[in-house]
Amino acid sequence: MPPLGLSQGASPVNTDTNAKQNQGKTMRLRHCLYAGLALAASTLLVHETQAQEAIRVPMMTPLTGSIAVLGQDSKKAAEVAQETINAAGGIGGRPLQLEIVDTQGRPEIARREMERLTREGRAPVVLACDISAGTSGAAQYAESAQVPLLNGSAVSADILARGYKWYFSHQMSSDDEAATAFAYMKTATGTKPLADRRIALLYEDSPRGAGTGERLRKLMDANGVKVVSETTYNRADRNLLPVMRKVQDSTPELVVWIGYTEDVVAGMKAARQLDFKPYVLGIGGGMGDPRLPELVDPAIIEQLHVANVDYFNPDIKRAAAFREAYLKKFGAEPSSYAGTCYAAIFTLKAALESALKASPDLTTTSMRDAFRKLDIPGDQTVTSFRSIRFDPANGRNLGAEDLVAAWVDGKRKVTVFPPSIAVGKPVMLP
Amino acid sequence: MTLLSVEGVRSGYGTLQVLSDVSLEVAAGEAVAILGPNGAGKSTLLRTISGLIAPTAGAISFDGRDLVAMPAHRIPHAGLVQVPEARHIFPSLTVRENLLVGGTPLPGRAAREAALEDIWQIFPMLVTKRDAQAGTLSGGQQQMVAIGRALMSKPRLVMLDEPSLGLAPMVVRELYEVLRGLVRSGLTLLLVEQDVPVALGLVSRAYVIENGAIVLSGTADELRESDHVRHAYLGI
Amino acid sequence: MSFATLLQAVVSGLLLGGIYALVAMSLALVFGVMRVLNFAHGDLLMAGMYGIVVLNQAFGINPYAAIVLVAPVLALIGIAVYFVLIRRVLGAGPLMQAQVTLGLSFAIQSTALLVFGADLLNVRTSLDGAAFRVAGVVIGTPELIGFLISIVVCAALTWFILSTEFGRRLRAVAQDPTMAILCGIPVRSVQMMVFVGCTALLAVPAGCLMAFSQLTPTAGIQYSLLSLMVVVLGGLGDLRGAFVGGLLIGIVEAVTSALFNNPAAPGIIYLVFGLALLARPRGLFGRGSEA
Repeated sequence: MPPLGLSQGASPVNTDTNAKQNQGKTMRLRHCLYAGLALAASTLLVHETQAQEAIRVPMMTPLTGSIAVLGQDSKKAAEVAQETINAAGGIGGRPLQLEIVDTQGRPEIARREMERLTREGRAPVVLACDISAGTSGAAQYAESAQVPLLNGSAVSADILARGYKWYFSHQMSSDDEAATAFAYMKTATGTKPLADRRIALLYEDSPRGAGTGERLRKLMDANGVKVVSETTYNRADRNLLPVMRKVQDSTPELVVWIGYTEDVVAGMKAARQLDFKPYVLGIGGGMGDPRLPELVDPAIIEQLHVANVDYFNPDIKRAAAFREAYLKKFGAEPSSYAGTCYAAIFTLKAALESALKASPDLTTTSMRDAFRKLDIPGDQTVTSFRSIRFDPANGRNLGAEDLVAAWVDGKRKVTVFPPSIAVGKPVMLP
Repeated sequence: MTLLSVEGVRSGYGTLQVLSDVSLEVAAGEAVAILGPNGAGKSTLLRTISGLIAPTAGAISFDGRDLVAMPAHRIPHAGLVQVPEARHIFPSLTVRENLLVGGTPLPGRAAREAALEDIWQIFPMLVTKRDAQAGTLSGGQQQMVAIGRALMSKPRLVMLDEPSLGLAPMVVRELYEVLRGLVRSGLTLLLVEQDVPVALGLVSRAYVIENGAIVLSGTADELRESDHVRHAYLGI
Repeated sequence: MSFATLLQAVVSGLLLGGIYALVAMSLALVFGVMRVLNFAHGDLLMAGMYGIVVLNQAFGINPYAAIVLVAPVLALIGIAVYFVLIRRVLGAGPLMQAQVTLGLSFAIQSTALLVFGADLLNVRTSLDGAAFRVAGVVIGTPELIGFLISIVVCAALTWFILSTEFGRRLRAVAQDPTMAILCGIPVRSVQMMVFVGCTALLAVPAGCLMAFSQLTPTAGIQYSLLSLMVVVLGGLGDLRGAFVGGLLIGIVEAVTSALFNNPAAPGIIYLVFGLALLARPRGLFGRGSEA
């Protein structure tokens, strides 16, 4: 193999006379001057490039696996958010680059990725738009590694109960959901007292469903509201007819139903087969899925007078610009998963801006402090929240609040509660 | 006319060589026996001829056709069938179904039904058992089914591996009566047998294999007189 | 819980169990004839279900009619899978077979996620939510149709195996492949045809299921696990066992989810499965296996 390297590129040996040598000296001096100028200029250039250097933040989300729809919607929201932010000048002049990591919806992978991102990647902050199970493991690691974790999607209140100092839950918790559901029921019951109503609880038995279901039960028991039946089922159940029949047997007027799209669709079809037509108050992604009218006959949705407690609805005024951008890019309405992740990214932006103002180097501590200082009015977000303000004791978003959206004609969702952001009127129980 | 020709065949299982340089011949219409102790390689020889094992050396031809190059399942179609050791009837198929499977090389349903009738003639004791699951039959009956199955396709040469194994002496006598009848009607037979006197009573020629090689061959009479055979196999 | 609800659970479970029985029978047949336990069986079913959905959403063909169009496509997929994967692991140890077919399962799942996304898909028919009552038990119309079609196909499959020439050879190959060769049966061809046929057959449960059920890319693994469980419970390779096992598992599934209000409920199927095997290690009907 021919020898490579500098020896080949070396300048030829100068065998000229003295005169030429003198000429050579001047030439060399000039070369040095030019080189020096070029070097000086390039340092300016380097400074410029550094200013353009993107802010990289890892985002963990389940792109594949059983809850892949959460990840895929979050990814879409991330694309819109990134484009919007960078088109408006980025963060402190630097573009934001979200690096999406697939957790497959599995807690062990979430934890492993968290470890990798913080140890090797030295990320100053991590955003998670994942399910409760995965976020829980990641939060545990974040706490021990002292790296701030911003939770965009997980609803579980159990993580908050641990009192982490490095966990910031942008998303509202199951306590908020239960509280909103109960507040809505008080509105929807009209003149008849809530204590006289027959209400059934139906929820899928994973920590997501059970978490909110159990809290709502406690709330209702504490207020003397009758729960005629409390039924759980497994999400993967293929046969929901017997389960729905059990609920039907308790003759409820209102069923509060916490589930995912797959089981909610199966359950609604079963309800129709059973000729079971209670009023339904859903909580979570299932009853609020914008694709529901495609998956189930809208007449069934209408028959059940479905309203849904959710953390996002594209029809609220605050979300108008986001909704338009999302529709334009993907030809579909943004789901709750997309909306909440989008909102979390903007909260992340606010924190990054605040941290950069304090010091141009992003560190885990500067990010943590930035999150603690945040106090964003709800109007400036796309959410239904009153504000974004984190409790330093456990990371809870003190300004979080849910909305309730009702299905109209079984075809579109209209926000009906709380009155401050409502677009339409609540569905009253008969 | 030589029907089956085996020349210089070496064969075995993986790295274990069982047969070393075996050669033999069977002419049309003959009944030939292969004798020898357990583990000598008799079954390995039949399996090699039937295409279940590929020989590492040597040539095998049947009716002028190269058997080594032929896929194993085509060999019965060429007219050479085997009734393996321990019979291997299909246990949950009925007797009738077992026989019909034997008729696979035949050209169609009618031919198979016709062949079935012929088998009932040869083995009338099977007629009452035609719809019984073959696994419920006695050893002797199963042997009849196995032979009947082999005969269904009207083969030119039938190889039998230890047909008397596990059968009572009276059943063995009955079995050999049937075989004698088949030989008389012109069927060519290659018989591997442990029961030497009974075998020599049926065949015209025999080979003796020991340790994977042919040590002796000759007519039935010659072998009956041979000292080696008398000492080793006839207990004289 | 009332008797009426229990009865409802049994009936609902039985209806779904009929479809499970057909899925399991096709898996049991493949195992019986070639001793390969296909861990991707449910994923092949899922591929069929996606086919049904595509035909319905693109051309408005109802799921039952779409069965006829999906079957040949599944047959082609079966041919590809047989020649690329299955043929190479015939006779290999169960661990190797499991690895290869599990790999296929993940490949199909990933392809589905890539092509169709994570969104739930289903088919809307005029039968959505249709049902009728018999003695206080609600019977869903699409569920009943699926059950009847499955039972008929199971019966037809059984007739085919017991009464035709090919069925006879198939049984011979299943019981003793070496002897089958000695009878002149082209064993490898028979095995290929059985694999392709059983894969194409999955179009039937695919159509029946899509008439009332939902589809996501993870459905395949669920059905793979379920059909494997049914086949082992029924006795590996035993078709009768697969049939009864399918009905049983359907009933157990429905009854436990109706009876137990607790997250352990799906685990109970595995418990029942484990106990049944403990009591009868060869499965309900099986004569055991060499695997």
